[in-house]
Amino acid sequence: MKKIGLYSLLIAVVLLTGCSQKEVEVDANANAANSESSLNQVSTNESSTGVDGAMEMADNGVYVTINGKKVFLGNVYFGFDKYDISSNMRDIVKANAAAFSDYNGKIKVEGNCDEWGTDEYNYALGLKRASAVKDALVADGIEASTISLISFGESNPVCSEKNAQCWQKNRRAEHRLLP
Amino acid sequence: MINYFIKAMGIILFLSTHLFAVDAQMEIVKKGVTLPKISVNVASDSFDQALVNKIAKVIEQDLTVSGHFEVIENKILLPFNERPNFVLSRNQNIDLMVNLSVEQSSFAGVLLLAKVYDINSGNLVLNQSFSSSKLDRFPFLAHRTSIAINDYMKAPKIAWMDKFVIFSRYVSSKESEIVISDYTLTYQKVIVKGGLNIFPKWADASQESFYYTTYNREKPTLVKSNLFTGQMTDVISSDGMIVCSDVSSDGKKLLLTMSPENQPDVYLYNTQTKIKSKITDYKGIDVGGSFIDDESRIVFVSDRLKHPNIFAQTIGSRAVERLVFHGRNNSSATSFKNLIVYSSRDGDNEFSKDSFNLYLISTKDDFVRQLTTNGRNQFPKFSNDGESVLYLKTYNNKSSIGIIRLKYNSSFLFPLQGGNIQSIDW
Repeated sequence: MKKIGLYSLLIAVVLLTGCSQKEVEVDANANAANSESSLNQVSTNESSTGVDGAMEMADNGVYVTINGKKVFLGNVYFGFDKYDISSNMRDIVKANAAAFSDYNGKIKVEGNCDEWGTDEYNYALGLKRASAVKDALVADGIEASTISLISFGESNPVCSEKNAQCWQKNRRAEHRLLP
Repeated sequence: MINYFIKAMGIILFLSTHLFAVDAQMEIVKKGVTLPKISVNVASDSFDQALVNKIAKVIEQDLTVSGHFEVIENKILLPFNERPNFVLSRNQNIDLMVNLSVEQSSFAGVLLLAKVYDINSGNLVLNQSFSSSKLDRFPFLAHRTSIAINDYMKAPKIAWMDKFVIFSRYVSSKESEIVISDYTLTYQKVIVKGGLNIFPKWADASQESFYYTTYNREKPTLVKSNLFTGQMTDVISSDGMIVCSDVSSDGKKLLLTMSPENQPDVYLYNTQTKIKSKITDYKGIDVGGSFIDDESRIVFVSDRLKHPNIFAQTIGSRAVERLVFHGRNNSSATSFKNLIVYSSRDGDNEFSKDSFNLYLISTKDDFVRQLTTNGRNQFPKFSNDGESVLYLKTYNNKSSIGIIRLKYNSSFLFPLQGGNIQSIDW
């Protein structure tokens, strides 16, 4: 048995050695069109960023000048996953509407979210928050056509710590005066 | 009534390398198929051993991710131009042996030489070279080597490994950049920077152009940009928000989430006629449209039942069908033909940490398959061939890019260095 086993092994070695003479050429075509070579043509587009006009920011809102008077526009804060204006935010909206009543220009309401939403839904949530504030301002007498909306989703946090107070600060609508 | 058939986690494998880990697998993997055992080696006389070792590691990842090979730890150390001892290698249970070498190039780049031996037949079966003009592009050399080995075995194609992934990441408040990378996100190149530029989406399978939303205009604007010429075209703008969620297979139709009347809905946009038509109509939130069923229907996310959930609607019809019957926050979905993968938050408030999981359903049956078990698993995106799902995983404060190979019941994680990913497409 042992002899047969050794013989088989020798035969196998010979056979395999015989086979091994076959070689392949180096494939020079391995560098055909591919992602790596296409990178040679890829450049970086650098665009200018929109910059907010001069404003005096506060923790919970922004100071602006309307008809030569410095007024405070308070942020409107929202509950987790919510876009309705809670009763304790109504007074802030009313105060903002009163400030805007003397203003003849355009207003932009910016909706923002915490980091917990995902993808497009968070941008839509920010938009609905801005939209709720617009509806409330209109209800308080501001002309709808003077108010435009924008959602920044979770891209514009004012607080980056990982705790409930911080997330609450980020779920907000802010106000800007457009030139 | 939907039958829930969510299989409990079968086995958890952890292949421990610094770059690479295997995610929790959701089903018991049948080990009936014997995969060819492959040993990936660095030639003892290669220039720049550190670089070749990195390339070898990526090739090992690729071959494992392919599902077509069993990468084994047994190594064969020999100079590049020497043949292995086939008898000894067979005794080590090696079927294929890869030997890699790098040559110093005169053009500041790198030339990778790869030989593959079929140990059983005793033949050199592949002898290829791959060049790159820049050292940091080495992952692509590795992916192309893996594709060549896979092609030699006539295994199902893995050409997708040489495709770009495109993603946006936040840099600071109201500022992000758009990046292209290899599928493991090891190589990265910033292609759009300055201001808020988000939601990049390939314009077609050729990956020559991509769409993204820029906030560097008066209103949020969808831009189409050519990757190679840098040419940018403004497609359409909207007050509030605008996102390109999906592109038809011929590249001619887009599904947009936009809010021209301050109301987020899903629109169909014809890139040739430049006409948009509203598909969904609801006073709350409708977002994230994705084509299903030969592009005759869409799947989308809506809060019409008070919480974000996954619905379907035939284009041109008003009837809406609810697709998911569990979870209180199912806020993103991706589709391929009749398959849908969505993320579901298992808790119901912001304190329910680490609780977003991915699920797979089909429009053709009631089967629900849970794809992940722990962590925040978000931004699912199908590959072009529908065989894989790319996603972002955050677990124990560490972020990774995950790939689920649906046919192979396996998933893999590639740890992500820094960066807060906003959206991803491949």
